[in-house]
Amino acid sequence: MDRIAHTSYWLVSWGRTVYGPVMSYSHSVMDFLFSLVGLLAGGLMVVAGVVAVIALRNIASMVLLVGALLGLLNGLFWALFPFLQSGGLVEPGSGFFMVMRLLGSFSWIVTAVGVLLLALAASGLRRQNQALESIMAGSQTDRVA
Amino acid sequence: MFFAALRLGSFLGSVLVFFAALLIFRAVKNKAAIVLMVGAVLATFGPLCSFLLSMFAIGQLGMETYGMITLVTNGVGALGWLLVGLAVMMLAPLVSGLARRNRELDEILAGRN
Repeated sequence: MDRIAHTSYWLVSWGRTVYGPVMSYSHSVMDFLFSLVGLLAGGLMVVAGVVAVIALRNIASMVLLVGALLGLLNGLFWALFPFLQSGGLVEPGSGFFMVMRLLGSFSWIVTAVGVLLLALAASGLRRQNQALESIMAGSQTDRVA
Repeated sequence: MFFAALRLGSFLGSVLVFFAALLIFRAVKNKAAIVLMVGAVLATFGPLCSFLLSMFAIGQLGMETYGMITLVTNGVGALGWLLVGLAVMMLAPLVSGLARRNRELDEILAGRN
């Protein structure tokens, strides 16, 4: 517990140091840390998507990869948002801001569909695997007989 | 309304992930499936609370309380998606292994026939 408390304190202090100069009413330090968590989640899913594309080469893995890439892009935008805002590049409520919010929600739906398709693929592969194993076991029994 | 629709979209996404977790849990009862399920539940909780609050309770709550609840639900949602990411990361090698094993078994069977 002490370690968690210490890490949380360190993270918030670090967030304040990085984020303090550009902090605005619409975005707090915690929002910045959450966007970093989203960025990390997106990164993990991109790696998983690449592994799945290499192994399966099917639509499920590609949908997962596209969703993960969109999620990563969205996480990156939110992590950089205060800096972009302080530089006058993006304003809350502007068209680009709304598109990025929409992209954030859309990316999670695409990723979720990718995960669901991957789950279906895993389930099908497992069943096929069991069927093949039982055929193998059956043919071995026939040979012994 | 636009933001409520976005939260509803995120909520639907996490419900889909929960179904995926159930499917995987039925197929392979391993750690990745459990992590995915916990992650999906947490990821569902965040946008659902946010959506319900923004639709029904903004008027009753003060801005400070609303901000605090949004912060907590955002945090829980972010943690949920991180767990989903971890679970998918654990799941990808498993699916890859299953696909490889299937190809091997197919080749062995083709060789025998």
